[in-house]
Amino acid sequence: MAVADRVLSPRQAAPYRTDSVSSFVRHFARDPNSVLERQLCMASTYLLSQLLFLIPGVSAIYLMPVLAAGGLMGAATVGAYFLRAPAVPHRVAMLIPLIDIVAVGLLRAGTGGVGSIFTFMLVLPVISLGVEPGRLPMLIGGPVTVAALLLPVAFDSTQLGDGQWSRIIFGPLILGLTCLSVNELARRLRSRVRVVQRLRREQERLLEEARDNAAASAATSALLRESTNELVSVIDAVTEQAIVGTDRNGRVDVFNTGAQKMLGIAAHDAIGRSIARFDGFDELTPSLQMFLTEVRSGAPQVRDWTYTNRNGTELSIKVAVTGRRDAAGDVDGFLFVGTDVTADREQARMKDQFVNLISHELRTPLSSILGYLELLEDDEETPLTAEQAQYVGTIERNANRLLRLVSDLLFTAQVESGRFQVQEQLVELHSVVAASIDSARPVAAARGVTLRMAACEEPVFVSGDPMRLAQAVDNLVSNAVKFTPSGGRVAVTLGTDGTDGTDGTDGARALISISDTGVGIPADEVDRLFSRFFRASTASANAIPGVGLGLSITRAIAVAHRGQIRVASTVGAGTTFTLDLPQVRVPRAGGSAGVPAGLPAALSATAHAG
Amino acid sequence: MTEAPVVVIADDDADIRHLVGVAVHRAGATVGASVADGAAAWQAILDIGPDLAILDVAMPSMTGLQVCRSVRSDPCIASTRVLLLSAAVQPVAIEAGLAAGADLYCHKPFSPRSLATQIKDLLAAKVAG
Repeated sequence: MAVADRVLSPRQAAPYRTDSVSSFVRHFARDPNSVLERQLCMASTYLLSQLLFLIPGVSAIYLMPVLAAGGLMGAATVGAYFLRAPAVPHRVAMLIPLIDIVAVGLLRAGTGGVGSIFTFMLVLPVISLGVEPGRLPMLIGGPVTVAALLLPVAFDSTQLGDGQWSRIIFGPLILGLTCLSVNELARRLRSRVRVVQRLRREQERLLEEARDNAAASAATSALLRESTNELVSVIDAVTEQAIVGTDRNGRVDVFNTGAQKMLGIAAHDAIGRSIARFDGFDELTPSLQMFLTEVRSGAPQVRDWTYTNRNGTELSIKVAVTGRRDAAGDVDGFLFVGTDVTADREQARMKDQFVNLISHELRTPLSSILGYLELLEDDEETPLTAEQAQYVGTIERNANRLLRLVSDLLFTAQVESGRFQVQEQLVELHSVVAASIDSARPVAAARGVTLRMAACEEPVFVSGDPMRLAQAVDNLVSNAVKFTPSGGRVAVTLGTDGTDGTDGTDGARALISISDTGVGIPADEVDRLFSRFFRASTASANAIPGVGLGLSITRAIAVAHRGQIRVASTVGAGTTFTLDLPQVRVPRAGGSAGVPAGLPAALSATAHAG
Repeated sequence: MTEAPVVVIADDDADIRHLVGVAVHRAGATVGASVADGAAAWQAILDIGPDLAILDVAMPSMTGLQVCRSVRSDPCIASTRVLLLSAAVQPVAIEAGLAAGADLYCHKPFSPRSLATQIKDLLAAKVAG
C-alpha cells in the first residue's frame, strides 16, 4: 500500500493549470524551435533597429527599399504566425528567415549600402536557418544571403570600391560558419532532446508498470492480510487448547488465547521468546531437543507434561508437537497444541482408587466367608451331614463366583487404565488347556455337556503369564459349556498353524480352538462381542448368567500377549473361538526345534459327562 | 520338646484375625498377639520377638509394608519371618511386598488349610536356617 502511495503522488502534485498566461508559455515551451517565436525576436529587433534612424547621419538614402523591407518583415511575421504549428514542414518554415534575409538586404540597400549599420541584423535569420534541421536550409540560405549582401550594389554600383570586396567575401563566409556551427549545435541538441524524450517515455512506462505492480501487490497483500486475519481469528477462538507456534529455533511467534489462559502467560510476554526459557517448562526443556529431532524427521510427537502455573497449580497437559513446513516442505518451525487433561487424569485416578478400594473391601468379607466355609468343611469333630455339606458347597460356589466377578472388574479397570502388563515367562500350553478342562468338567457334567480335548503330541510353548493365559482359556471353555444345551458337545483343540520355522520363526502360531454346539451368536453381534458388558441376545434369551466381561478380558489378555482371538458362529449350530498366540521355539534335548507341525494328531483326553 | 513357635497376627478385620489364628494353631504354633493396626503390630513384635509375623498390608497407622521394613532394618529381630496377607493381587503389589523384605506374600481370600501348611513351612525353614 505504501508503495502505491509513493508512485501516485507526483501525478497528484502536478495538477493542470488552465489560466491563459501559462497556456501561452506552455505553447511556446512545447516547441523551442517554433518559427513564430524566432520571427517575433526578429521583428522586435527590426522594430528596435528602426530607432537607429534617430541617430544623426543615419537616414534612408533610398526610401523604396526601406519601405519594402518593412513590408517584407511584416509579411514574414504574419506568415510565421500561420506556420507556427509544429506539423508544418521545415522546408516551408524556412521561408520565413529567407524573407527576413531579403528584407535586411533591402534595408541595407536603402540605408547606406555595403557599409550600412543594419548589416548585423543578418545574424538572426542566418542563425534561424542554421537551427532548422538538415543542411538544405543552409544551402539555400547561402546564395540568398550573398544576394542580400550584394543588393545595395544593385542600387549603387559605385559602392563596389576598394576594400568592399573583402566585406562581400568575408561577410557571407563568417555568416556561413556561424550558421554551420549553430546547425551542428542544434543537431546535437536535438539528438539530446530525443534521448531525453526517449528516456522520459521509458520513465513513464516504468512508472506505469510500477503503479500496476503496486496495485497488484496491494491487492495481494490485502488478500494475504484477510486470510491471515481469518487464521488468527480461528486460532484465537480456540480457548480450550493451547496453540503455540515457534520458528525452527523455538522462538515463539504464535501464542493463542487458549495458551494464555492455560499457561497464565500474556501473549506479549511470550511472543519472540524462546520456548525453552519459559517458567515451568523445565520438565519439557531437557528432552525438547531430542523431542524436536523426532518431529523434524517427520513423526508428530505426543506426550504428557506436568506444568506448574503461576498460582502453583499443577496441570497435566497432553502436548502434541508437529512440524511446520515451508514451501519446500522442510520443517521450518514447530506447532505445540496442548490440551489440559488435569481433570481427566484426576477422574481416572479417582476411578482407579475407587476400583481398588471396592476390590479390597469386597475381598475382605469374601475371605472370611470362604475361610470359615472351609473350617466348617474341615471340622473333624462334628462332620457335616450330607445335606449341610451340599448347602455349604452352594454357598462356597456362589462366593467364588462373586470373587471372580470382583477380580474381573479389577482386571478390566487395569486394562482400561493401561496398567495391565504381562509378566512373561515360558508357558507350555498342554497343562494350561488340561487345567481349564479339569476345572470346567464338573459344570459340564452337571449340564450334560460332553467335553473333549484334542491336542498335538509335541509341547507347545508361548511366552506369557501362565495365570492370565489360564484365565483366558478358562473363560472360553466355561463360556462354551455355559452356552451349550444339555446333550451338546464342547471340543478343545491345541495345535499350531503348521509353520515349522524353516522359513523363519515369526510365522509360527500356537492355536487353541474351543468349539461348541451351543446357541450361537447372531452375525451382527459378533463385532460387539468383545466390548465390555456386552451380552449376545442369545445369551439373554436363554437366561444364561453373566455380566459381559469375560470376552473383553480374554481379548485383552490375547492382545497383551501379541495374539488375537477369532470367532466363527452360526446361530443354533454353534460357535468356535480361536485363541491365536505367537509360538516360541524351544530346542529339545535332541537338538532339533520343538515346534510341532500340523494339527492335533490324537485325542489325548476325553471327558464324558453323564 | 521345644516350645511352640510364637506368631504375631495383625489385621484390621477381626474375623480374618480369628481365621488366621485357627490356621496358626493348626500349624502347631501359638498366637503371641493379635492386633488391629500396624503400630500395635510393630510394638508387639518388639515386645514379644515372635518367630513369625502375619501382617495385613492395608492397615491403619502403619502399613504391613512399613512394619515389614522396620523388622528387616532392626538387627535384633531381623530373623523374624514375615508373611504378608493382602487383598491386592496385582503383580506390582506382590513385588512391593517382596521388596519390603517379606518371606511370603499370600492373597486374600486364602484357604486356612493351605495357610496352615505355609506357616508350618516358614517356621520349619526358620529352625533349619
